[in-house]
Amino acid sequence: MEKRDDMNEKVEGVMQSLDGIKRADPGPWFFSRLSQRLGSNPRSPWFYIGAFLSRPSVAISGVMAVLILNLVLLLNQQSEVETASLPLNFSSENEYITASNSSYDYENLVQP
Amino acid sequence: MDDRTLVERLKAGDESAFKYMVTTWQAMVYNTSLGIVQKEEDAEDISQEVFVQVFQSIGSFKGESKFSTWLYRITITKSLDHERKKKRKKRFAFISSIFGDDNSDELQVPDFNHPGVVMDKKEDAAILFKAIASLPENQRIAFTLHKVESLSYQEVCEVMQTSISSVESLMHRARINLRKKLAEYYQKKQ
Repeated sequence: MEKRDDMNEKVEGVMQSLDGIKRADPGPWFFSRLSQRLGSNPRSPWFYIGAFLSRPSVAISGVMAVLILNLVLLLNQQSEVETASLPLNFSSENEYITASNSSYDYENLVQP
Repeated sequence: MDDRTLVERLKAGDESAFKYMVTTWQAMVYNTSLGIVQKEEDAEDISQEVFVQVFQSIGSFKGESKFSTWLYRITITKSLDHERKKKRKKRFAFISSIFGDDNSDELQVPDFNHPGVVMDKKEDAAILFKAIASLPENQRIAFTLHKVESLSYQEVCEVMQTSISSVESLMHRARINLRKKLAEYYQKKQ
């Protein structure tokens, strides 16, 4: 019981430790440092582009966009292959060229 | 110089008005940022960023709120952005530590001593600041603005763009959470 009271007292003491706090000051020459920062060379646009692209949200969105684009292209390609129907009179014989163009054929050409 | 004149002169690119604005508000911006990030170098850097932002975007200030309220909002946004970046770095450090590149010691936050705290309360205040750092964002902002910047509930609600009852609720929950965390801290210590 005594321990608990002691602890509560400590907690209340800590809770009131900010009473009478004064404002902290950034120290002398703050304006000079700020002016120096304002007057320093502006960063190149590539710095801002790099910073923007390296944000996790932008980077993840970019990767997701590329993956989705890939998926869409892949699905489109597959459906094109499926929909390209074969002609009705298609026979497997047409698929192969059985005639050979050998020197013999040229020799036996029928002269007009 | 009143707010309207100051803003008009800033919009016109008046350098003396900019200097006046910085010297008038620098302590307010720095102290608010310091209360949130709890590191003096970072607070100085954020304060500079805040004034650079003011310089660049004064044209977008419509005067719907007080100038100081607008400054508070920029400061809080910048400070929270800084905190998020730091958390991201910590997460990255955790991942690299898994792969053997352990540099987590560099990122551990040391005890923070606010320079404005009364001398005999410094130790207690350091414990309290550690507990404040673990509060949820909204509670932390409300508590910091009220306790560190000594803003009234009315001013806190203007900065946070919420109602007084919400601020009261945030403060109430912040106090409960802090008491709980401090009790746990002392229990572990015993």
